[in-house]
Amino acid sequence: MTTHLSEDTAMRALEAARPIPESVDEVWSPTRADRVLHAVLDQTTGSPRPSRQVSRRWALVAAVAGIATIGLIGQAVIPSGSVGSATPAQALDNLASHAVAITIPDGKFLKVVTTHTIEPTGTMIGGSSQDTTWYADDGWCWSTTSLSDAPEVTYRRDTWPTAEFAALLPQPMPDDPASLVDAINQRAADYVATHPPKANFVPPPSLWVALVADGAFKDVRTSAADRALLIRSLALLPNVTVDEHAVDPRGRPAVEVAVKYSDPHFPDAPQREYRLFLDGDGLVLASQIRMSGGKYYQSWITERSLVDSVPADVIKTVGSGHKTKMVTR
Amino acid sequence: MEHPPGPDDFRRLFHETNRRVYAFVRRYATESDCDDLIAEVYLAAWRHFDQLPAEPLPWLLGTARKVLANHWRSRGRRQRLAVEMAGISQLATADCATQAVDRADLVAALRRLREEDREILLLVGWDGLDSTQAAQVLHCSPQAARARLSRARKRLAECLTEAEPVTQLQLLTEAN
Repeated sequence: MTTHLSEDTAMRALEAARPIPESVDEVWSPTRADRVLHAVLDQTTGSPRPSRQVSRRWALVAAVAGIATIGLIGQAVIPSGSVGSATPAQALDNLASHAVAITIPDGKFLKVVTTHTIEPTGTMIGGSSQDTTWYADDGWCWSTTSLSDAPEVTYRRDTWPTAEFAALLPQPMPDDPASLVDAINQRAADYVATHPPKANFVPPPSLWVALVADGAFKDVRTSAADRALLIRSLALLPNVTVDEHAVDPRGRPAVEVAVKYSDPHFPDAPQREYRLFLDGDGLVLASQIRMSGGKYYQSWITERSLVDSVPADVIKTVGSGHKTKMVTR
Repeated sequence: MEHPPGPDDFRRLFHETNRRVYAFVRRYATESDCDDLIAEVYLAAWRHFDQLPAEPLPWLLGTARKVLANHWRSRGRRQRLAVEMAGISQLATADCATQAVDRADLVAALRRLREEDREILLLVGWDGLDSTQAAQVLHCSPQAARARLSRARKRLAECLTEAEPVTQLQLLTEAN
């Protein structure tokens, strides 16, 4: 039986018995901890989630890393059907021949709702966010982003492409796909060299080109010819496959372009696959990142429509001038 | 421009905190379950990297608490308490007992405490959190955490006064 103790003495006794690093290491060894760390990294891709308040430059980096919402836009179209070719080059060449520019009629706005999902849902890491963007034909847009597990809504007034993204896309565009691939990779290398934080994630060339193409498809001012050139450039990527008879995650007929890549930052991690689902006019319906073995990790799925107006509360929050603005509330 | 978070930042976070997260999780889970549970905590940290405060430990422990709650949801309370006490018994440093209290008495006293008292005492006494940080883990106000800690300190002192040793055999029996 212990004699009467003061509260302070009791707490000191408790604190004296706290686990110390050496005793923890006996069971929770550095090797075991590293195993858990790699298990975590094997289930992730790119970089940790960036702040919603970060710069547009980081938003670009995140997009390239495949973790930011890739707004995928284009006018609502009916797919033109199978292109019916055997090789990626032939399939994409046929698809490119159907490429169209996005047209937004006077007085209308292109509304794109993008649902970003991280699987498995219902777990601590799983969840979703929804980004709604209203595009005007001058390249400026308004957007709202809400997370499934947070009450805040982020409002933005911006252009697409951003200046940082535009730096990756050659202007004027080269005349042929091979030159375009080379130009994008050169610009990507320059960008990485001049933006040290980005060195945290240096995508392989194949992913750069696929993501830049994806981003260019978003630009309402990208011409049909440039869209066609970008589509044809995808055929030149290593490890690219094309399925002309695929369906996107919503079951819509699509041409699926898949690019396998390894994350250079985690050479031991499983190979990943970046998939673009294009409709018959070469506009993006959805994209996904999958882990090796077919495990699904993230997806961005879009729904497009033409609307007459932008919600008043969105305009009131970020304005309608040609000035970038972001507000989270 | 503020340095954006990158994989190296995440690795640094992991290396700086994983021992303490383990020490927390092990209190409430069997050794064999710890790895998966800790991985789930850090997966959440990856996804919510933007929400991590400068001192991330309370956030990590609060997340671990939720992960553990899910883990135990389908299991019995008795089993959970047995595992908790076995974990505490394993983690309590054997040679650090004060002259006033020996380790066995301390473990016995913790066993007698109410769960909510034991939880906040260990957050403060073992995890090194202050009452405000403990409040973040427990999802209560700092005032409520301080009041809860004050009551728990008093009860710990009472339980230590009344403590009778619990044998290792009892703990192992409860855990299995």
